[in-house]
Amino acid sequence: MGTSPRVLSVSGRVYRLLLVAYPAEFRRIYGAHMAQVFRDYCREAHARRSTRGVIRLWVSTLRDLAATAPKERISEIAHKYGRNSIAIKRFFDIIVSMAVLLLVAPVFLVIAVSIKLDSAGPIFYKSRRIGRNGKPFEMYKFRTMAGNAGPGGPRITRVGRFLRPAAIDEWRQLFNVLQSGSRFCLCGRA
Amino acid sequence: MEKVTRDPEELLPLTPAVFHIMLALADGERHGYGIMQEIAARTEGKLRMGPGTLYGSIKRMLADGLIEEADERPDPALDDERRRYYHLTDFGRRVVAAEALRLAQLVNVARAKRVLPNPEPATLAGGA
Repeated sequence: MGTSPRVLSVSGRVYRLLLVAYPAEFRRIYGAHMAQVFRDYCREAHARRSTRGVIRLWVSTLRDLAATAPKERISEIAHKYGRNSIAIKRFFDIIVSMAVLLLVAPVFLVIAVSIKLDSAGPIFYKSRRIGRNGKPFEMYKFRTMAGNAGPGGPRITRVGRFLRPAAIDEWRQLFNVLQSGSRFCLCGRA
Repeated sequence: MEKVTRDPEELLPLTPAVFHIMLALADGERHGYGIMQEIAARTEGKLRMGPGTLYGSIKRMLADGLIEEADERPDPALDDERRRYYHLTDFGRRVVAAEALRLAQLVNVARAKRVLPNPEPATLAGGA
């Protein structure tokens, strides 16, 4: 029972997938033979019932692949994978900002009410910022200045005096991460 | 037909992988895995060639006319999968001999410079 046909066929199939690292022409002629030799190696390792042997086999096979597949082809594939990893980062951003938003939601509620009570005007301050690829997006912050303040007047509201040192007014940017895909970074007042 | 006019020397030195594969084929035709088994047995398992190295070398050796594809048939010692067999061409045989001679000459130089001890007549360790 040392040789499990299922393990062998799965290993063989995984190896066949890895063969994309080789040019199509080479794969067409030798792909099946290479997979066959790999399965033979697997069978050998399984027959000895050696887990270490199987691991060693995979390590040496991956090394062999990296050494013999054309470099341009590998970097082409890495580039493709790199694009997917942006999607993975975006997914991560959304999860993290949603979790943080849930935690700070009660605080946001209190702030929103007090801004409204403190001075006339909207809760949020909206500003157009240039985002990725020069595409503009609306960035929201809690409003900390009085919208109707004349020259010399106290522009910063009372709630603002409390919010600004702690940069709490910037927290609203968490929504920006969700909305427009701005990366995780609480950009300062600029 | 064989290209009799080709000079074996122009393909030297062979890469270690190619030289090993040709030695494995020197005493008869083998399929890919059979080549690997022969090499592993001869080097006490120290050299295990990966499929990429093996078939990358085979591709070049076919292009250089060192080996030829024989038929595809199952190996009675393994399973009933069909396997592609390879054997040396006459030109390949001359090339592997030339490479062995080149290496033997290098070993002689190493002996002359006392890098390698001279073999004692009776007890040649390992049977080089």
